[in-house]
Amino acid sequence: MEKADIDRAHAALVRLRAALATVIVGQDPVIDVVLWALLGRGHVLLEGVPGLGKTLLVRALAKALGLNFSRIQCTPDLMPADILGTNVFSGDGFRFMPGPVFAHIVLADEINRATPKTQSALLEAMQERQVTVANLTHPLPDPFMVLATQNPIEMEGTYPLPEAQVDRFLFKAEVGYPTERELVEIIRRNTEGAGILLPEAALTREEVLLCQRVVQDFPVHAALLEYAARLVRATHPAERGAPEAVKTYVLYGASPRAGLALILGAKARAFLAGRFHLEVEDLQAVFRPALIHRVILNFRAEAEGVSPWQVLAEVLRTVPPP
Amino acid sequence: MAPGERAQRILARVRRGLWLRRGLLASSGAASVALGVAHLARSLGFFISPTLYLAFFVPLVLSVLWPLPWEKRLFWVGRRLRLGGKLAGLAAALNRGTESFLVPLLADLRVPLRRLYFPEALALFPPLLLGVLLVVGPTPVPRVLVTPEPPAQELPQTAEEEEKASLALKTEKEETAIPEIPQLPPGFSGSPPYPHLLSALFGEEVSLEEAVERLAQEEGLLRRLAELLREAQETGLTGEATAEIGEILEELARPDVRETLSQELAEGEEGLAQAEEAVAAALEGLARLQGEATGPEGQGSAQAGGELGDELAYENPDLWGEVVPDVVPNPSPRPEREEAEEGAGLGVGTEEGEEVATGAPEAQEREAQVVSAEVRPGEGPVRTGIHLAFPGESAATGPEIPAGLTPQQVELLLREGALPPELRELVRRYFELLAGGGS
Repeated sequence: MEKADIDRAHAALVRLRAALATVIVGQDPVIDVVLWALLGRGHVLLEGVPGLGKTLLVRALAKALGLNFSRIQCTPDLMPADILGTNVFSGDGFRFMPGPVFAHIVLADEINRATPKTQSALLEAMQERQVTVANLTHPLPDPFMVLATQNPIEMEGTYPLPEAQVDRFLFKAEVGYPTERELVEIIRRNTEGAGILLPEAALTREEVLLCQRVVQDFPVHAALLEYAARLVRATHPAERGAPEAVKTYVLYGASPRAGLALILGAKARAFLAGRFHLEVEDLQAVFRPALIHRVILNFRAEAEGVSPWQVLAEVLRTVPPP
Repeated sequence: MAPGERAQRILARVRRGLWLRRGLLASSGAASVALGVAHLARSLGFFISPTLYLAFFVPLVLSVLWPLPWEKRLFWVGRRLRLGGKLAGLAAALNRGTESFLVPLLADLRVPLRRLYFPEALALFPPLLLGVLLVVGPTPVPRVLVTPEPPAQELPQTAEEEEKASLALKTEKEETAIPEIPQLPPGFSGSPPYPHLLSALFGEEVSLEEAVERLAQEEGLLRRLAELLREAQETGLTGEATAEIGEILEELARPDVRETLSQELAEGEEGLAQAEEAVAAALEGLARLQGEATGPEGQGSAQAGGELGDELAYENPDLWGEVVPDVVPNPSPRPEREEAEEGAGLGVGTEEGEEVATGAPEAQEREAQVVSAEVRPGEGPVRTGIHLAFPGESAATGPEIPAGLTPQQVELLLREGALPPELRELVRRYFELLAGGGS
């Protein structure tokens, strides 16, 4: 990779940010997490109440990236074949009809409304980046990114994602309510003129892949790798140096995937910021979205109303940086 | 220069900077400890061998030789140099060989290594301050002198050899016996007693030289007064002589003599004879005191100059009482000296019939012997002019040596200083040591 490639990738990312900003009002932290996941070749779980612009964000992202996009509205009667695709008989025999998962950007809306069987099928595709139907393996397009949404309030008729499957999302983004100023802007844009127009494609597919390759090659100092490992290990209650909050409230700590998420997210964050080196702050900034869905609290924490972030903040405070 | 080579040079500079910083901290810490110990030892009066101070520089040597995990500290260095993670990124890119990342990293990289030393340089101040204090500070007299231990004797192998060895050792001991220094009784301070004795004698803090000068001045006044009184008896008391006598009386240091003479002279012509006798008696006492203060050499001059006083003393021995010398280690070759001592007074000596404490016989023998002992120079001015000698003899063998004190004079001074009898021997030994160290 040449220096010119790095410069081209960075310029493409600048264009992408500008394109998203024309459509999405506020939600900068969510956009950041989505872009980190895109550059880290990961998937994102978006959690928030309805009407906060989650679907709009995903559609705008797909459009700005110049990639194809599909949306899966998850319901209890959704079957795996509805997502993955199926073999259909045509004149000359059976032919594979790809499902909506065969897209660059896939939005799995309200994923917790699908049955565990369907969830598993989707999550397997996310992890393997391929689909096997009737003993035939069909690779998913590259780049491939799933953005799943779930409503944290409405629990009736839902199937919460098992921990093992949640772990396959690189990051979890918590979509917050817009501020008053942002809300005014959202109302104005949706009620005046032609309404919201999706952005034009700001990048090509090759540029997206180039950006992902740059992040993959980004040099990381060994001290930061050790710091990431220490952070992840400190979430385990059996770990000797774990903080007291972890020992008291955590049932299961973060998996090794959390370490990958930390480093990939930190690299992407540094590159998005136009830097060619990592800072300790990069790791600390991605710590929350990378680990918040990977730490399982015990009953005592639930009874005492302790949130995962309260415990993780203690971990971040306790583990010394390099 | 290739980006990789430049990155290597920068990282090498950083590594050297870290070594230097660690050396700086270690050396300043070691120097602080060493100088602190030196200060403490100095204030307590102990002497520490310079080789011991070398032990304090072990941390410095270790800081140079101990491996430095400099790569792990690159983030810390980056924060100190306000470079963030650039140095760590540079090292990571160099290790991975990704030159495409080296170029943008090196583009605007400046490494201000001086920021690495700023707070650490302050660590140099304590040792510097201690060093300056050690150089310019006052030098207290050390209490303890560290002397090397004598080499241990080889053990004899057989009984015969053992006997021979013990015999030889005994003979050697007898030959080179150094008299034991008596120990101070508990509660007695270790300061030299001589200044206290002088101050008790003269009523104020005076040095030996000052005391001799005062006595000479007093003698001159008394001598002139004696002349005036003699002339007045022959030719009658004139107004001029009366005025001069009045002036002399005012200048006299001893108030009792002044009062006696004033009373005698107030009687007119009849009192002149009594006044002359009183002056002669005072001169005699003065000559005795001068002799005690200036030592054998001074006694000669005091006796030569104080002829009148001596004569009067012989004529009138009861005037000042009898002085019995405490210690007579050797018969004096000058009997007139002993006679003078018998007649001299001025408060020194003992009353008739009073038991006199004498020194131990072995101590008397030692008085005439110059004892060599280790004494540090600069112990104080009291040592000047003190020499060990026989009574009535001059210890000064050359013209360059000033007058000294005899052991008898020291004994007299000790008695006058109201020193407890059990301490006199100790003080005598002290003066012997002083005399021995000064010879």
